[in-house]
Amino acid sequence: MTKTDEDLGLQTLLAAKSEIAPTLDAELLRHCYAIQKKYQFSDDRTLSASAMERLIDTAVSRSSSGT
Amino acid sequence: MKLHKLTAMNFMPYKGETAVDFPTDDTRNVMIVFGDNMRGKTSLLNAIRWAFYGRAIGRHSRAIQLQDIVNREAALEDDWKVQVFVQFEANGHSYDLRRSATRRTHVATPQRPEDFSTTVQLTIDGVPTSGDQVETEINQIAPEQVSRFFLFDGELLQEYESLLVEGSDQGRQIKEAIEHVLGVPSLIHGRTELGAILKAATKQQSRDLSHIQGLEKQAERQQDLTARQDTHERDLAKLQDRLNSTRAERERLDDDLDAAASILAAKGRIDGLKQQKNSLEELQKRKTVERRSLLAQAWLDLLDSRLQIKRDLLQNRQTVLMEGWKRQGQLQTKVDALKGLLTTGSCPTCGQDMANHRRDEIGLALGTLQAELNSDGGEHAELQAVSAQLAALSKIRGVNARDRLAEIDRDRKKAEVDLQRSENEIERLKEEVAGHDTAELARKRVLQQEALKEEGRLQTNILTVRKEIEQVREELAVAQKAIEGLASARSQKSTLKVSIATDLERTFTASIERLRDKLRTKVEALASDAFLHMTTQKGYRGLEINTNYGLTILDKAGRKVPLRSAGAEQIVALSLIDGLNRTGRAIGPVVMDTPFGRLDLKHRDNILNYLPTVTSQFVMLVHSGEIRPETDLATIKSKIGAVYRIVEITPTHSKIERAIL
Repeated sequence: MTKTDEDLGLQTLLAAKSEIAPTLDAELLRHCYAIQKKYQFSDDRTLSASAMERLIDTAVSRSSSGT
Repeated sequence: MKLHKLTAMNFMPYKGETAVDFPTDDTRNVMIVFGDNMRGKTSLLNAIRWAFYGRAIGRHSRAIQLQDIVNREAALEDDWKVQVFVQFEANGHSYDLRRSATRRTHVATPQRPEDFSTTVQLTIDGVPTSGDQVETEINQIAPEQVSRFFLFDGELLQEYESLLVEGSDQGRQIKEAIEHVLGVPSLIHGRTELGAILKAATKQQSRDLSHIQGLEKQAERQQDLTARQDTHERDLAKLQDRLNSTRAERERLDDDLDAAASILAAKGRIDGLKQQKNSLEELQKRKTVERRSLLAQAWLDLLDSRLQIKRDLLQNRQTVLMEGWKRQGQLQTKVDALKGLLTTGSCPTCGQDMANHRRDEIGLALGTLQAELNSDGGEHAELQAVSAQLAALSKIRGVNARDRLAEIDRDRKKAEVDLQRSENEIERLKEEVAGHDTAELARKRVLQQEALKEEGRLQTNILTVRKEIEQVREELAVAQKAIEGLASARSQKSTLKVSIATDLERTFTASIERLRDKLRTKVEALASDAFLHMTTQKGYRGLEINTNYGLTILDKAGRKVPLRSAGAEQIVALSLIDGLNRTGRAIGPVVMDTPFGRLDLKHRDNILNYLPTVTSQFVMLVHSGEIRPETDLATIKSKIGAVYRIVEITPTHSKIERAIL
């Protein structure tokens, strides 16, 4: 019953990114939000934290290798 | 999401197996379950809640223990197995959720939840889900944190009024639940976890920089800042833990004191009655002394009646003597006048000389009067004596002992009755408070007040530490910018990771309040729309939301309506719930227990017509006082897909039967 369309949370993050961190990869932000949304009601916060760190590490590797 | 079927076994009053089929036709999505009080309406709501979340809720929102969930009659027959199965569909998949609890083998009579073994199974499109994934799957479809908005008790709708009270505990809890349904925790968790990632990355960066010649100072500065950040965060965690434990303790004390409110009131009444008893005893003592003193003077009343005769005689004699004394005065006046006539020898009116025969007549009259005047001797002395006697006798008076004693006796009798009544009431109240340690309650009240003050202090300290953390983070951001400007540092992976994590963390942080603002605007608009559909008052423009998601009615001119009736309160709460459901959830079922308690027929009509249009299924658990099936459902008859009636077999055994309107 949780809503998937018209996601105000993602819209807000993308709008904030364009002001605060214009160079931040929007896809990375989308993925981070998707993880948080998936685990919003989970008591075990290590799952979402690990998943986000993996995303960031991948972005770092991609960036440092110039791809 | 749509519910299809619920099957319960031995769940609360439903002994044996009970099944309910929910209406799944979109055009006939209303289901009504009629049941009088104490028959099992709330238990039906709890059966759904227990199947999904393994929890049933009783009065004061307290959890019902597992041993109390099992039907009592079944338990007496040594059948301790309880089950609820729910079949439903969501997002194009069919789900079969089965929760069971049964007595552990070594337990004779379960006394606590641990005496049961519980299992939960979920199959999705016929494929079983592994046990540890069941909760995650349910959280994706119908998270427990938001369940209060679709499985709710109409009698608790007034709780939403607390959202209008700044700083209330209940308001804080409801606000948290509202933010859950709206998805705010996604950003809050994101910020927290990105903060942790950023900190770890910064530490790694410091270690990396410390090995690069020329960057040691930057590394040292960063290490210093992250160490300060660690210290502040540890302090914050400790303060937060203390606040949570203090708050939990205070809430426990609140509950204890609420539950003991009648005991404390009885204790206060006992103290009042004891004071009243002391006053009555004092009054009795005073009246006894007064009575004794009066009896000592009662002989005066016996004497007084005889003395009164004497007083009357003397009084009469005094009157006679006074009359005589008055007459003597008149005689003397006449004698003086006649003597004057004889001396002048002329008429005092015309001045003519008096004739001789007239002088003789006056002389005769004068002689007679003088003789009469001279004969009055001794009365003056007697009058003085009589007056003296009367003055002496008037000092000896009766005390009216008979009437006054009767009055005192009446007062004493009344005091005695009041005293007895007070003593009886004190005894009754003492029995009421017997077994309750009133000193303990007084102690708890002091502890509760202290805990409240401690909460305030901790909150202030938390704010201070948060500001300090914010300060360190700003300093770290400045240091990071400086590091990023150095080519040798920029090439480090850890520097890149800090940079990305910083951007993400700042973006999540900035988005939280912005999201709240957007959600409030949206909830306000949707709740206003729902309110205008459901209210019967046409003089309202809509609702205005506050920072806690509390709603205030606005009149046509946009002014806040300060006072609202209990019925209006309920409509506002329902509007908020509808606004939240439409903002934060995909369309789903809403199950309402006793939703119409305070509402008149017109409001019921409006709700019955409106809510089925914004829910996938609208399930109402109602008692006969809320809805009269024969008359109140005419306008939505075509939307009703299922009707059930809860029938009492025994006080601890109900069953649900299909019914027709």
